[in-house]
Amino acid sequence: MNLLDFANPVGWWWGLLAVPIVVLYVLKLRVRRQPVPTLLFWDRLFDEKRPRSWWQKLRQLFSLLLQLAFLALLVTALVDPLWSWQRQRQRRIVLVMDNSASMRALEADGQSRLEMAKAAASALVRSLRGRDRMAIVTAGGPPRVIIGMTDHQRTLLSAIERLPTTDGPTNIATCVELANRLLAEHDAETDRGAREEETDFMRETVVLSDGCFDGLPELAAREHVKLYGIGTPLDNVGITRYQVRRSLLDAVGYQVLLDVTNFSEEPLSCRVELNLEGELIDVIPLELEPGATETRILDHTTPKGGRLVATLDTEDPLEADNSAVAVLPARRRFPVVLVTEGNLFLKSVLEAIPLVDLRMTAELPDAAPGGGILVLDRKVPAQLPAGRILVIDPQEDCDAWKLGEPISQPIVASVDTESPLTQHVRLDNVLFPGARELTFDSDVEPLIQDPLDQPLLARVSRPGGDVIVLTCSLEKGDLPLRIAFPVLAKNAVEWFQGNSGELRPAISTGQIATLEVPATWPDPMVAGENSANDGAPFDDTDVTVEETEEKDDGVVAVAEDAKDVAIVEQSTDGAVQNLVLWSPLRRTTPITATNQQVTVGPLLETGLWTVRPAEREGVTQETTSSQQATNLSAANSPTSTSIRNGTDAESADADADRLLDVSIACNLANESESDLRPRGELESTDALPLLSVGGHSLWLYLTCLAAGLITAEWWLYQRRIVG
Amino acid sequence: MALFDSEFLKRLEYLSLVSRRVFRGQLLAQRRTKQLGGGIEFADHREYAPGDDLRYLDWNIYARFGDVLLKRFQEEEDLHVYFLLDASRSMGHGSAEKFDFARQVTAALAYIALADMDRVSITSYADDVQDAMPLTRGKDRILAILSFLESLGTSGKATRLNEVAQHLVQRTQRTGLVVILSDFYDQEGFQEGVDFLRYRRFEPHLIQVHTTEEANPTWLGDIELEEVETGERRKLTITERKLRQYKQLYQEFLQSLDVYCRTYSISCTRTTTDIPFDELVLRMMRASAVTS
Repeated sequence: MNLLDFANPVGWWWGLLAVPIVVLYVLKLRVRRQPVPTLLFWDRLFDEKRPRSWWQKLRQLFSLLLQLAFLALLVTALVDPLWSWQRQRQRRIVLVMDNSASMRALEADGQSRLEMAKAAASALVRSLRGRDRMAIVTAGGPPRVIIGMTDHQRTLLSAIERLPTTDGPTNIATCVELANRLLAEHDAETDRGAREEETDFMRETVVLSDGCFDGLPELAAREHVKLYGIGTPLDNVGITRYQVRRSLLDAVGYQVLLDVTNFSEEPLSCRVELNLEGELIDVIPLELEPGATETRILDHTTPKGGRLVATLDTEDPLEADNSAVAVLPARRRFPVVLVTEGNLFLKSVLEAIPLVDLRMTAELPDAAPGGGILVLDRKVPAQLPAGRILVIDPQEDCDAWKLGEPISQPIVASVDTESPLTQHVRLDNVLFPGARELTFDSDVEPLIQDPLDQPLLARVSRPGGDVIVLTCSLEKGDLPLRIAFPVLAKNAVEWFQGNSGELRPAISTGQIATLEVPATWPDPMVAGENSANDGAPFDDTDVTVEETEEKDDGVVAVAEDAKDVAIVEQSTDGAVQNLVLWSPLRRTTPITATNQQVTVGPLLETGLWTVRPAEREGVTQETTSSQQATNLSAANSPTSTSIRNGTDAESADADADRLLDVSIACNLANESESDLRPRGELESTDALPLLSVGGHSLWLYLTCLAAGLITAEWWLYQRRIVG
Repeated sequence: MALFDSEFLKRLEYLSLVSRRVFRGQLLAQRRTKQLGGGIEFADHREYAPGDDLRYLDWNIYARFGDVLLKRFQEEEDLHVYFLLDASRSMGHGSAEKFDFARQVTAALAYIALADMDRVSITSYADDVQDAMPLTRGKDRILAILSFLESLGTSGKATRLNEVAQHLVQRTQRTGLVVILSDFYDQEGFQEGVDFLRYRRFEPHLIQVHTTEEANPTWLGDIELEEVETGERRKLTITERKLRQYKQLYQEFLQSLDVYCRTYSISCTRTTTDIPFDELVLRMMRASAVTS
């Protein structure tokens, strides 16, 4: 072997330590002289050891040789010699660390897979030689380069130590592509100005993963990619799908879609608890066969909204999939003003519709109630007020239509079945007595027509709010006695409210979501007072669109690792709002909404993500810093705790604050991550290409050996076994 | 400071008084010699031999038993005390010189002997007799003895007690008490010399003098030991274990000295130089009172 180079040639200077060693040896040979009265006893003492006298003569020289040998060993370790094959085959490693959700699974010894992977990665880093370089890429969620190509072991070890856990999906294949690009870029950089022999690197991509992802065999077959398995196959059961939506048929009803999968070889019994804001809603017992998925669709009713949490009562290695959260939109009561001289039919029908706060009056109001509906029975002002209006049997002209002659044969000839206003309405053999021809000045959508295509029920679109007009005298016909009438009324009211079948989908980790945000965020104090009465959510459809000014003064303190939480896509044009995205772990990220839309993601934590206006967060930042350890429900009310005192006030404000936020639920809901059994054979981390046993370079062991031998020599010297 | 100053003389006088008051009849000249002769104190009988003085026949025995026995009497005479003072170089070694200590003890014992009308002779020796003071008597001779002792010095290249004993036996006409003051680091062994004296009917008394440093050396590590008498050198590596072995060996040497003396009923005194000479003398007096 030819010794070509040394990683640390400065270390040769340590060889000068041989000089003081030799000097000390020479000084040691000049022993002091001690006169004694007699040698009788000493001679007798040492005569017993006479057979070893040759050793006595050589032992001092042996001691010197021993010390010089140890020094040579140490100096050799310090200069770290690189043999020709090592120098030409320097390693360029891209370490792909799987920090996906499945890596959070706890092994039998209580250690998580990610911790095991970190230990293996640290051993690999410690085995790097002076000219080796390594980059680290994470595969939990979107691929991220944690640290680029470097040979600084301390930086690499620190990066590995600080590697975050995520609930994201495994993305090994993309990471390997990224690793190839990194290696290619590094080669291109090295080629510039490098000697020829220095470009012959040993390139490899080392993947440390639990193998819980698809496409494992194809990946393992790739060149320069070495996969090493972490952990052992584990049984698990998890929630693999969870969504909730408001019912299409019932204003206060909602449906829960739940999938629970058993990823084990044994049948399993478990229960799922549903809690709405801490209140137990349902307990679903499940019997799961091995590998089976149990799908349940559950119907419940409540006008309340909030976090609907499903929790599995099993204890398994992975906790992230044992609970799931979804946002249930709240239904609030809304005002309906009935202007009539006294119509029992209409009154009864409107009162029977859920969430309706009915108020009757004989005077025509100036405007429709805020967030509600104005129902006009016969009386119509010349100028229809702004807002959503339902007009029954108009008797006068107005700015939207002109009344004509009574229709001679007001028989229903056609019904627009596509319109939500006429769905489930059957009008066979129904007369609309008292119906009159209507001539509309603006756009109109006839919903029910007579044989001459005269509209009996029509929707008039106008800038100030749509109007639905029904030309039929309720007292003269049997329409109020038909089922179709309350259905028509309910359709009209729900169409006006516009939240039928409302769905706030929960996304899976690693996905991107686009959220609608209100143009103007109301004062939380006012919202709290409103919401304390009816528990209604903030309805952005009620908000008058105003010009939103860009606010630059919303100063927000953001955690250092906030950028790790989410990647936010932002456009530069349109109305801009400064907002803050709060993660389930109370980490904040400043984001900007454009045109009342903000795109966040990929989200890598399970739980409820919330968006709040930046100015509010800026005000309350001092208080939130001390509350970072609190749970989500408490953490959602930083504003109120800084403003009010008293438990009730805080609770009310907390509700209000939460309702003001725009939230999105994020769950693991990933069968690939919940299945903790690797999809193929993986090599153990014991086979990692370490340069030496135990994960350290050989020089370290040489140094330890030399130190141990020096200690032994010192002990032997103290025992006078060597000179 | 002189070896024998006025203070030393005072302590000698004190020792002399103490010895007479407390140990009267038990010391030196007041003890009877074992010489049989014409004394008045009966000793024992022996068979009559032709030519014996008939005046000493025990007629009573003859009358009773018909045996012809001669009465023997213990002769009263002055005790001759011979001091053999080791003046080899090994006695001059050490911070508190053993030789000075030995000379002080010699002076003290000689004074007591002179005070009791005994005869005293002092011989300094190493590998051979270095100097000798002939037998002298009378308390007034103490100054001469002190002067003689003060003039002595250590010399020689070995310690040979055997040769000195032979020289003493040849030189003296009468037996007596032989007080040997030495460290007994005799290269060829001290037993032969003492045995020789015993065989010649001398009564040996051994006073072994050593220093604390000799009994408990503290040197460790590589060291070159040089014997002060012969000049021989040894390069040694002394470990804690070796030190322990040396101390054990030295104690065995001292014990062998005791065993030897007990075996042959020889009085023996072992001392270090760190106690005053007069205390040693008093201790010897007490020991003598108990044993005699």
